[in-house]
Amino acid sequence: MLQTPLSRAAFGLGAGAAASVLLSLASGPPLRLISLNGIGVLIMIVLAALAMLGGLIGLRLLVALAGLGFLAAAALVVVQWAARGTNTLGGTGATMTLMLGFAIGLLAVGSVRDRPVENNSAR
Amino acid sequence: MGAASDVPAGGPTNVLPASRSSRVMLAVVRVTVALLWIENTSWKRPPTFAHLSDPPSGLYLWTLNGVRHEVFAPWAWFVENVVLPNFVLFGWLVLIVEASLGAFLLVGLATRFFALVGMVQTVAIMFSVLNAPHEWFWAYFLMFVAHLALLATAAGRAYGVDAVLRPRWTQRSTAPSRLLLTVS
Repeated sequence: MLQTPLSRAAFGLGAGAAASVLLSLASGPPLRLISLNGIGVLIMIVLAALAMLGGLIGLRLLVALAGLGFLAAAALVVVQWAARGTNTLGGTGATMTLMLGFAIGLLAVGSVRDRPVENNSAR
Repeated sequence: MGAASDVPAGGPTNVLPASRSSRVMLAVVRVTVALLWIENTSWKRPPTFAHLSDPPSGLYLWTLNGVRHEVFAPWAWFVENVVLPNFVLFGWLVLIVEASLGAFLLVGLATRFFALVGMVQTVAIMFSVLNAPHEWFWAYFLMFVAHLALLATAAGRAYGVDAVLRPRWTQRSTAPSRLLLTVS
């Protein structure tokens, strides 16, 4: 479990996504940084769990799927927010940006084959 | 301790700290800067971005401030003659740039490139709002140097996606891999 840097990164991104739900709980600024309704929280938790599971069992397809899920959710938020203000996930631009971040991270990690490499990154 | 040739000029005391706690603190700085951009995309609402709102509000108000409270004459001219006549397009560009800043800095991918973009965007914001009423100019200077620190330390290599993928990019000799090594 979590034996490779990619697995640990996927698990960490999933854990970060789950934790980021906390940013929607405060009633106002400065602690309320994003907006989510009940459906939005559920979607975040499910996608975060998918990423963490993908990291735990080392299945990059699952990690990439979680990334695609976040990308779709971000697209849904921005399209509905632009069209009518409110949206299915209760998000704003900040929610869209946060989801986009996790989408980019998980897709980057999930699209790389998990094989050992020489440790010569300090270049 | 490595070979003598590994010791940088000036001796080992000149090496930046690479302890776990230092890297955690650097990651905290990167994520906090990302949250700054993330939160600031919450009020730049497409498709109008408050264009021609009366009284002016949102992104339209802050853009107008670059003309009403001029900081730098060429910038004020640019805003009045190029940005405001094409305000909706400008609004989308700002949203895309700031959403990219928040997203990429959050996960630490291509961090040096986005730190540079953040510095450029901070200067653009400064030219619009530095002389606006009730603005604390140090906020923008601090914002600039926070990105400078991310650039100088290649902060994505501390608990970022850059740290995970750089070994793979190093092993490939393709143009995208070389580019990613440069921007991370």
